[in-house]
Amino acid sequence: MTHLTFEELSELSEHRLPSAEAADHLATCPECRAAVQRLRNLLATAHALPRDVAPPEHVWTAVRDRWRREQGAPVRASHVWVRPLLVAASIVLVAGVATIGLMSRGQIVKRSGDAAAPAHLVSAVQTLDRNYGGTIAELRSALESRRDALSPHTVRTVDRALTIIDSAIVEARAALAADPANQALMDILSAHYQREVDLLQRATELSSS
Amino acid sequence: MTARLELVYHADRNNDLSLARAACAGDERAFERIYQAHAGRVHALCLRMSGSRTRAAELTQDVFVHVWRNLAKWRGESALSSWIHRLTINLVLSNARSEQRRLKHEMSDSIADGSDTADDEPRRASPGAQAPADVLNAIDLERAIAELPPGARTVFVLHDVEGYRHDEIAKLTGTAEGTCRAQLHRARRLLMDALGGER
Amino acid sequence: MKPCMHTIIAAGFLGAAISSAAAQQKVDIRRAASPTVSVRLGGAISRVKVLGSDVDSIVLIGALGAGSRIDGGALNVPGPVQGMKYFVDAPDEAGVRNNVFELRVPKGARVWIKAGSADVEADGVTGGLDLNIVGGSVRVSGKPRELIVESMDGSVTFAGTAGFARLKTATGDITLDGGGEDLTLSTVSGGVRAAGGAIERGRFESVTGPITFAGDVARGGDLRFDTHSGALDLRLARGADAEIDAETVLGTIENTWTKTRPAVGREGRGMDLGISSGMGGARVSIRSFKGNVRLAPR
Repeated sequence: MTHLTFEELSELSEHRLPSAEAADHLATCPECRAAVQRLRNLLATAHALPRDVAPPEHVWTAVRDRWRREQGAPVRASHVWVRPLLVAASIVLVAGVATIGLMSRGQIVKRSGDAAAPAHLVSAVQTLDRNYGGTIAELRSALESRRDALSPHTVRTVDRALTIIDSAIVEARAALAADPANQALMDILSAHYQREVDLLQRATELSSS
Repeated sequence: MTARLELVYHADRNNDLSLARAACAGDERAFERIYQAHAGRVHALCLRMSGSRTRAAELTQDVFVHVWRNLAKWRGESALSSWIHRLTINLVLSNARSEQRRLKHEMSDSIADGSDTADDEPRRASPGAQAPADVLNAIDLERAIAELPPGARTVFVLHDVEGYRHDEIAKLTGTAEGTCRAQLHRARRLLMDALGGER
Repeated sequence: MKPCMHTIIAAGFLGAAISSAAAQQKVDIRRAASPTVSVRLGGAISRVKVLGSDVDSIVLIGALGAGSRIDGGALNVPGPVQGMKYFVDAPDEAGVRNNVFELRVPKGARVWIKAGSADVEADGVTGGLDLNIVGGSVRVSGKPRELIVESMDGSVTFAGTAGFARLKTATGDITLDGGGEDLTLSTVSGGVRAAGGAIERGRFESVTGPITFAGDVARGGDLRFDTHSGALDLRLARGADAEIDAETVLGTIENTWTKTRPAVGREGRGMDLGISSGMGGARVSIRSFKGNVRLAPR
């Protein structure tokens, strides 16, 4: 049996009928009907994707600095090449205000301290932690449950890489505590989080393939 | 119910108008409120259309710079959210076009020339070869969208995520509707491959 | 996914020519194919060589170790093949070692390879390559339009130019001998070495691995180097048009490319360096936490 072309399936997934022949075929071919359904699932998932994805905090800082510059207000000079800083987030680390959950080897390392940092600065680090913390926890848990599906060699490699990233995260955080207004540090920390997510995703994919 | 909705609508519009006026007058807090209200939506769009986290942050920044520079031109005829949404799409597309010009390179995936005829050819599908629907989840899909070629990604995001019609996309991108459709089929096929191609 | 695979076989199994022998079986599959055919090959493979050519056909030849088997086939029945998918199973690690293939495809094909510990070589493919391994190595040469390589501890080498390339490892080294339009080389602890060609938009990232760059920055190009603690060694042509901004949090910066001296960084730690050379057409950003940065003439 000659199946429908992908283009025809794609049209049908939007409830458009490319031709009478296509309709006839669809009526008699369970495989093509299943394919249309899978495409509809794809479209439903696409349509349900979150409408809002919070930008990194440094975006607002950068926009605000440019705004102030154009308004003639004083702006603290920032390095040209570095994406604008996450002053807010980093200051939190100095003050160590809130409890910051850092996923580390499946554990939550709690950091706490002086509650003197301004509230709006707390939210920046919390946003960073929220953006990555949940995802990392989920991925770590998924990976842990499928650890047996990976070869010992792969497990060792993944563990080694995660240890390196975790150490880098700890170092970046410690440095932020000493230099809270360092935009590069906040970017570095954010990049480390992203790397950890990437690595965990890849490892999880390997364990499920 | 309709009257109530309209009231809310007018209240929002009036609120947006006052915020916009205040921001135009140099009120940073007003502008920050506009940013906070719309940044997530703008960033999501930039992220999906650019396929790059770094680029999305840069584009979001550019969008809001454009917003305040042009805010005085917004008179409240449309909702502020729609105005910013349209501005975002135009900026991302125009950015992609100037990038292309700068590189002086015809991208085979571009919707600008629709030259990717190879992928526009009808393909016989093997319906059973695709993955079950349960592998389709949002995280995988976001990742797969980011890996799409630029032209296909643009049309997929605008049509299947944002809900634009082909004629609107054709107008926005300056291409023929047929090219848009071909790019959309291509994007869907690549996504089905990416999401369901593994054993 | 097993039922899907069975459906493929039922729909269009090519009748893989597998001749049985006591210890090893030969694989010889040949089929006319569309110039942009999609081919997937995955599973228990120890070595595979992918060759792109002007001939519109797919040839999969090789050997299967004792007890191994290959499943799969074409995704369409009539006409030139537009999609093929094969999966190799092996009874044990020893069996995997004998599963060796050569895959010849039309040059415009899209090829996916997914294997555990494997050596993958690809040459002459101008379409897309998506190569995913855990260990072993990946070596790609030519001008693929899209190149995606992911490896855990396997090394990755690309010689050529790509429109779009993403080369990622966890601990494996990444070597680029060439250039392209939009390239990302990213590793956790492997080394990154790039040389030999012009790059329009490049990202070079590591956590602890060293990064060495001796390539060209395309006019108007944009290169970014990020590391946590890896040494960053950039060698640029003298007088290249570029604006360079470097910053370390704790590491040092040494500049012999120009006479500009780096400044002491924030709060007396780390260093900053800003250089505008020639027409300043390209942008180079360097960021390191504690890795030392060295900028020198090539």
